Amino acid sequence: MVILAWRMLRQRPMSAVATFVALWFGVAVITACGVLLESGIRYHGTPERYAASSVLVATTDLRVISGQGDNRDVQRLPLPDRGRIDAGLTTQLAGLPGVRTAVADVATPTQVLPAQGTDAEDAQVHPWSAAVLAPFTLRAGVAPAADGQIVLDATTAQRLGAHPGSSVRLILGSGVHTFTVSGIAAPSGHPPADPTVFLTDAQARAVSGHPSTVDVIGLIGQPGVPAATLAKAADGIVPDAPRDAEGTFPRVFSGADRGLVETPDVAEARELATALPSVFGGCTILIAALVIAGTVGLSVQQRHRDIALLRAIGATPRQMRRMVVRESAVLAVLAAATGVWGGFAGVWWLRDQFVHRGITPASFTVHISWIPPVVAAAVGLIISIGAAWVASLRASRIHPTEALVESSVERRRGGWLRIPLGLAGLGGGVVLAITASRLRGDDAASVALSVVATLVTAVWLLAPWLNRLTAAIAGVGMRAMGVTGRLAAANSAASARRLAPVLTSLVLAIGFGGSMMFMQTSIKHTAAQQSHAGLRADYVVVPSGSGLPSGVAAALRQVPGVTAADGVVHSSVLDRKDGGTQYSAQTPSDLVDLGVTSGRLADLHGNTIAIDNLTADSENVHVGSSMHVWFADGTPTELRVVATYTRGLGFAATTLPADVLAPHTAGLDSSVLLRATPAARAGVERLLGQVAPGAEVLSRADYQVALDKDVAQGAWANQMVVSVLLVYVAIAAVNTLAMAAMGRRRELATLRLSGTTRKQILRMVRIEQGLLLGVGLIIGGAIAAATLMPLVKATTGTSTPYIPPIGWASVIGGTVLLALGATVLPVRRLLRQDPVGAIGIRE
Amino acid sequence: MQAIIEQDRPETTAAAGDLAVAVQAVRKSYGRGNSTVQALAGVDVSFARRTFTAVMGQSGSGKSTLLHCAAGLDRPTDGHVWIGDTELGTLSESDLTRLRRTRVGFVFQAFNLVPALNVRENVLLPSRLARRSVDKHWLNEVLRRVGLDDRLRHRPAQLSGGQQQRVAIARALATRPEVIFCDEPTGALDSQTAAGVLDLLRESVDHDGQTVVMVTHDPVAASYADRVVFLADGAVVRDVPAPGVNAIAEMLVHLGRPANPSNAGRPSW
Repeated sequence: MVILAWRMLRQRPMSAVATFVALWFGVAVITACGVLLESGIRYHGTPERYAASSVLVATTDLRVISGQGDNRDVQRLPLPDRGRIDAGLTTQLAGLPGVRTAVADVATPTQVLPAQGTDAEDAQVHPWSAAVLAPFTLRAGVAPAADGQIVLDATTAQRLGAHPGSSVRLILGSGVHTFTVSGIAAPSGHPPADPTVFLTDAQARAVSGHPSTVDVIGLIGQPGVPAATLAKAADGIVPDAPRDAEGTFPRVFSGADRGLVETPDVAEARELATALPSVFGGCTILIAALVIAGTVGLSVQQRHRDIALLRAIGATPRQMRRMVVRESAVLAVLAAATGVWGGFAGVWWLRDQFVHRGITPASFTVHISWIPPVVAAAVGLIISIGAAWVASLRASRIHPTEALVESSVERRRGGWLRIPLGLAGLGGGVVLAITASRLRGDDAASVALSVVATLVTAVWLLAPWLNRLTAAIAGVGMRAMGVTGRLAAANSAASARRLAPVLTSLVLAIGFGGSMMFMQTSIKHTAAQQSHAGLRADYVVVPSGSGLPSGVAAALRQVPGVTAADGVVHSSVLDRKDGGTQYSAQTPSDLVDLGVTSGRLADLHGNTIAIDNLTADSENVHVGSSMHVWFADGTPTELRVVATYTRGLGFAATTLPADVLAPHTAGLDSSVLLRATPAARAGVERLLGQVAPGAEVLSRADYQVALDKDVAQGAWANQMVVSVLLVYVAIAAVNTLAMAAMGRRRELATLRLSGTTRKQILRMVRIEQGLLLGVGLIIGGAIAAATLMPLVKATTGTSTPYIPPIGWASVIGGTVLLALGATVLPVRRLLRQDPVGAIGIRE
Repeated sequence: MQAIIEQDRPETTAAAGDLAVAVQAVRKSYGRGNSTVQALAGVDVSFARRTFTAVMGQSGSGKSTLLHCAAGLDRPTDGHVWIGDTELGTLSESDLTRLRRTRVGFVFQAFNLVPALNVRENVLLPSRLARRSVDKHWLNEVLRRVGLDDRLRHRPAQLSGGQQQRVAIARALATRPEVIFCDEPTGALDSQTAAGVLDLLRESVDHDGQTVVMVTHDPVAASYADRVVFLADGAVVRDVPAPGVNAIAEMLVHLGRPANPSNAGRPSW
């Protein structure tokens, strides 16, 4: 039977190839998702700065409890900024048995640059006492002994050409300061990814802006004391968070987990690497299931006569079912065995792109174990065998006498279960779409995938009837198009069931492609529009690295021609009411018109907040209500809403007074907005050379271009995965179309023998395809709209999605090209064959 | 009408044990309600072992339906069918299939062969489906007789129509079935190729004691048979032992007149 199945596969290479390609791609993407997920879970960064410290205490995440009773869920959300620890804890930890020393570390973002010039580079300031945690040891010079002395790491020293005695400058929150190099140090292991500079302990604490708290406490054990013992002892002093407590709590890290403490990037990378696959893995499985059910079903349909013959000469229905299932199993095993390698290659490529684009640190590595490929292969097998099993039920229902009849007319039978299921799917899709319109951002995006999936499944179930209906309606017009039109109308009506998978794959491509692509364009467009409409500044000063010293705005106000200069801090706040949803936050400026709809921004004093309308809606707050949030460093607070505004997407979802927000950030301004005459620009640039070397002045237009680029970069990972899925649905559609076309050999031969010319056949095929495409575009478009409109409303506030002309062109043009190419080319090939030969042997 | 058939029935009809196939009071209708079509309206006919019978009739006379019912490809709405001493009505679909692959051979008008398999594999297919070993000696004999022993590795697409029908006959003979059913086996062939195929069928009856039941509308093909059964409107109207080609053609022409059920069966010469 396996031999028979294999031979029959070889006889119909097109259908085998179609199923194989769809399976291969599915297995590859699922493998890639799995490997990425596992790599994310296992990613801890590498302890470099803290390599010598076996146990660390730090606050890196926010404990959030959502739900109640059985639904109660405790989550640890990575904090946007590092949380703080009371410095007093250091002494307590140092007193533990087995601890040789406990060292408090404070990391402050800065930029290092030479005494002359603007060549600034991001770096971190640490106290010299924390050098032992790596350990950094002096290679030249001496340790910093007084304010104004600095130790550089060897790499930075080389870049700056500095040696003991030279001067370097640091850009700190308080401004640009000059230091004298007292020594040069290097770690015994790998140097940390970020350049490191050391000041005296006192000065390092002072520049951090939070002298009474520390970031990390590192423990170094006495010789022979294992890390586990130290960690256990530390646990006694740093207790677990109480069961019902939310907020930030210091935790003890040891072993590989220490990498998580080194930079917040690690947690962000983990978040990304685990979130991406969870959203898109399910979607891939669904596409694979739909497509493979289609191709396997088609391949059974096309072998109708072969199967009837086998039944007549003595194959039992069970044998036919087994043949179909085994055939798919053979394909699935081949596809799985090769597809996983495609997945591995994909993840490696993705990892390089992530690192190259700065989305993850360079220490992010691909971790391959046996689990993801085995799971992906199993999913591929299950999908393929499941689809084959369903198709085999049809195969075993084929009656042996059907081998004896002259023609194989499509029989209308069974499948009445499809109508109630299809209608249920339709209803479910609509309900999901309504649900999506009540969600925000990422949540809404993941629900959007389910909306598309449910609606496409409904179309798949209802496709035979949809095809019949449209054939009946369009038939009237087609019959007016002469003999080829009549033929096309008759074919479309007669092959409603055969074309069902073809329609499904077209709808999938259009519905999925349309909603995913235009979701992104709509958000980008609205953000750009709001930013254009709201930005009143003539120039924007942007830093070359992490930020601008807070005094820059005040200094720039003194430049002749500058009439206003506002420093803007960007950070985020996390909602304490509902699972820690993160919102962007900024400080207000007169040079930004946020489009206030209620309240007044002028009331932003003390513990107050202004909030954009969409956030206000989803938080269910209005002017006068209070909001409970965490700052980016995990400090809880209660704020009173004083205003609501419209342009949240173009600027930030929330606006807080500078004196409320800034203490919970690194103390740097993200940008400075200027109102100034063009003549003032030169003066501004000259002054920036002193107060913020490396910073750039952008005109309003240039700034907005740069902003768009940032947005695009930020969305790269999402867009990447969406394009992979788009390629997948396109491949699937091409497969199904080409397969359906190749199955028409006998029918086309009959037409040619009865005098239809090549030209007429091609015209007929094009008319049929045009009808199918039209229906696919309408239904797919409707699905895209049903998904997009609530989503776009939820994220931008307007219910009209923005679809750029090139977007229309690429979706419609792409579908038309794919559909015609995948049909007309195989038909042309069929037409080159001798019709007499083609009619004889195969269906 | 019943009386006429009794009268025409050949004397050779013997005890039940000597019948390969017996069909008793078989009715077959398609569709429901007003659109019901009665394809067989109560047919009684039996086929003795080691005989070659042709079943003739106009299109729509029910001859193909009779063949399907007699061969266990289709179930009658009413009535009984025996192959040997097995009553088909009591068999499940799977048992029916098993019976077909071991005790019945088929030759259809076209599309007889699985295109993916070569000649030898096609011939072996029923045995393989039944997981039974094949008598190598007999297999070679059958392949030699149909004259395809040098084309065993060819695919059906590489063979002519006549050769394909020969492969189908070889497949039918290979399992030594109790009866071989042929549905217009020469319908798609020219007369010379057809003669070769019919000779093979005749030979299998004469040499190997096979039983062959063949549906055809070609008087020349029917003349190879020992007996010709005529059907009209779903009923047997004539049953004649080995008439010549001309007599068959004559009878066929008269059957073709607008149906008048009361005298449809009366000899008209």
